[in-house]
Amino acid sequence: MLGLLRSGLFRIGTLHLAALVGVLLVLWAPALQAHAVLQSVTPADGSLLQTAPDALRLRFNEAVRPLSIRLIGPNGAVQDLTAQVPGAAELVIPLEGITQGSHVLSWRVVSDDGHPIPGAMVFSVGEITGATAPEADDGTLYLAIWLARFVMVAGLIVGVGGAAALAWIGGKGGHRSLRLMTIAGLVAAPVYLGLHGLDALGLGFAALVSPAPWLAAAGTSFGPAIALAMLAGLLALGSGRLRGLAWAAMVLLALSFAISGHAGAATPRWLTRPMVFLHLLALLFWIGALIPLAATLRRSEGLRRFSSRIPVALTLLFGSGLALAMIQLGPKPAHWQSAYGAILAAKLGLIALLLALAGWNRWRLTGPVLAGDDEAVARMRRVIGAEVLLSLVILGLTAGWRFTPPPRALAAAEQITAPAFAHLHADPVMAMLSLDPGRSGPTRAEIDLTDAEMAPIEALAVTLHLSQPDQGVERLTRSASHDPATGGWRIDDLLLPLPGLWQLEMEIRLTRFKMIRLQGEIAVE
Amino acid sequence: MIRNTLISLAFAAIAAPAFAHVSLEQPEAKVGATYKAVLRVPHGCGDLATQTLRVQIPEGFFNVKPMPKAGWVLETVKGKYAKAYDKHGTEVTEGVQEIVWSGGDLPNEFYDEFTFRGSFAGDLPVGSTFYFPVVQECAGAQEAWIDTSGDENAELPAPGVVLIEGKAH
Repeated sequence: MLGLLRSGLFRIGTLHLAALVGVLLVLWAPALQAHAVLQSVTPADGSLLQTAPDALRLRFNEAVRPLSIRLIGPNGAVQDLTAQVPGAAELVIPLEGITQGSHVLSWRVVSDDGHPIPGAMVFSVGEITGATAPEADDGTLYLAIWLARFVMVAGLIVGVGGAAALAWIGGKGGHRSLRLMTIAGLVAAPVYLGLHGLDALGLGFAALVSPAPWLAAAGTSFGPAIALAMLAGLLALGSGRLRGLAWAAMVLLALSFAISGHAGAATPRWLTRPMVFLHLLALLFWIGALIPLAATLRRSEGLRRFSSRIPVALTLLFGSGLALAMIQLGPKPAHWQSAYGAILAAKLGLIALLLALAGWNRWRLTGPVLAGDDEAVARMRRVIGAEVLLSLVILGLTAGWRFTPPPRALAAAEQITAPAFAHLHADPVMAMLSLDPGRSGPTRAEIDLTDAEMAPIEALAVTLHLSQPDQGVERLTRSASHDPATGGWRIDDLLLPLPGLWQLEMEIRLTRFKMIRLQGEIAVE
Repeated sequence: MIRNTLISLAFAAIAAPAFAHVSLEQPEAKVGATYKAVLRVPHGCGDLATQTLRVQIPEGFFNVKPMPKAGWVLETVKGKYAKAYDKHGTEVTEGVQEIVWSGGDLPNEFYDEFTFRGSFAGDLPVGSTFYFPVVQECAGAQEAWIDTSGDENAELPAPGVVLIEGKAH
């Protein structure tokens, strides 16, 4: 050992020798033991936890001193925890304010022999980021969300549309039931906002008493949308004989739908948002008029006006509806048979029924009613009642769209899940690495080893190191297992915490004494 | 932080070749001369005790004889060399290609040495590093000291010697 030391030192200039010996004397004494080996990580690397742990523990076979300890959150935010971790054989890394999702701990420690030992581990809290699996007990919450959304939408559409219709037709027919609908919608709106916040944060109903879900929901596009909708409801309640207020309420409500939800969020927004706006205006005109009309059938003026304008409204309704449906369905027919597509199909079926009823009213009953036929008036009232019921069912169906990603989104998601490939080569081995899906979050690696002529190569072991030096993520090390079915190697539980370019290093143990190392990089979404 | 980094850099500069690794006592050897290789095993596989040590003898190191160790079963794997070597005028065409000390028990807390000797061929390139890949086997685990890349940061480098100019016979 001394000989080794001496020969090393003699190659260094004598001027540096004194300095080196000084450092040696200070640091040498404890430096003679073996270098540190990581023995356990708690929680285990790659684990999915229900709640955030208080601390992470890295246990080494001897005392180490942290050089750099960084925690990278699901949103990419980096915390430097180096100063909070004292050196010891077991490093205890205190955790605070851990959010849901996957986190990566990147560490670099030094043991007494001065050998820096880098490493990284991943753990997830609540969910593995990128794969949101709805929990089993979300059923009640989803039902409550659907109910709140349905009452809000139906109440406000019938109430606000009705107030506008009253202002237009005149009279007070159905005034009280319209007010009740509006109030129901106004009550349901904030409830919906809070429930939406619970869903966004993954909290239980009890958390409604805390401000967190409300703030979270208000911060999404639902916040301003629900504020607008409630303003519309209040204007409608206060409109009375003031026509302008009722019109304004109608416009505000249509706007509120345009600025939130799947349809308004689809691109191109310059097209979808005006389409949603027009769709809602036409809908408010049609559905809103039903109750006031039924109440004022004998005053023929309203029905006459409605009959003359309804073709325009229906044209707008179906034109905008058709355009939105085409955008939402997206280019891939394979995705049309999703839950979204099923709701759309049911909605179209019910609309056909609704149109049949409306047509019956228009062409069979309107003439006799305008002529003062009492029997026709009673019959039309019943038909309008059925139309209102049908409209409510349709609104209930569309409230279900809250839970179904539109097919265009499914198609877009499929593009992102395309595998990522990397080709690594160092004589005599070529390795094809594929990550499927090729995005951050949980993924699966498959590795095929061949020689330069593409003939398969046998190996004893394959180890993959992944790092992102520019993001400060040290090497994640995963052993691949041999897949006898394909003859290749695979890592099933790979979790890539961040998107971007990952540096790859693949160690292939070809025989007991021969190991080859390939390097490369792979880009993930 | 900066202090830590400096200290670690100082360590890294001084401590290479690290004592943590399985290594050879004599870091240099003359080409065309005999060499007594003393393999130093500073620790087990993690916490586990070493039970078997396998050493590969690459082409170019011939006439190999391992030293028996009390408490260990010594075996060799012999085979034909790729070419003939000159042993004081005799042609040597086959010999030991792997040495296995097995059946031992070397706890992680203890240190031990394993010895063998042989000759380096005279035509090996001076200045290169000659590696003896070693696999250390413990109960249910192993450490494969087979990385011959020469990378200073290699986790498990193979023990090697730097070949220097030998005296002409």
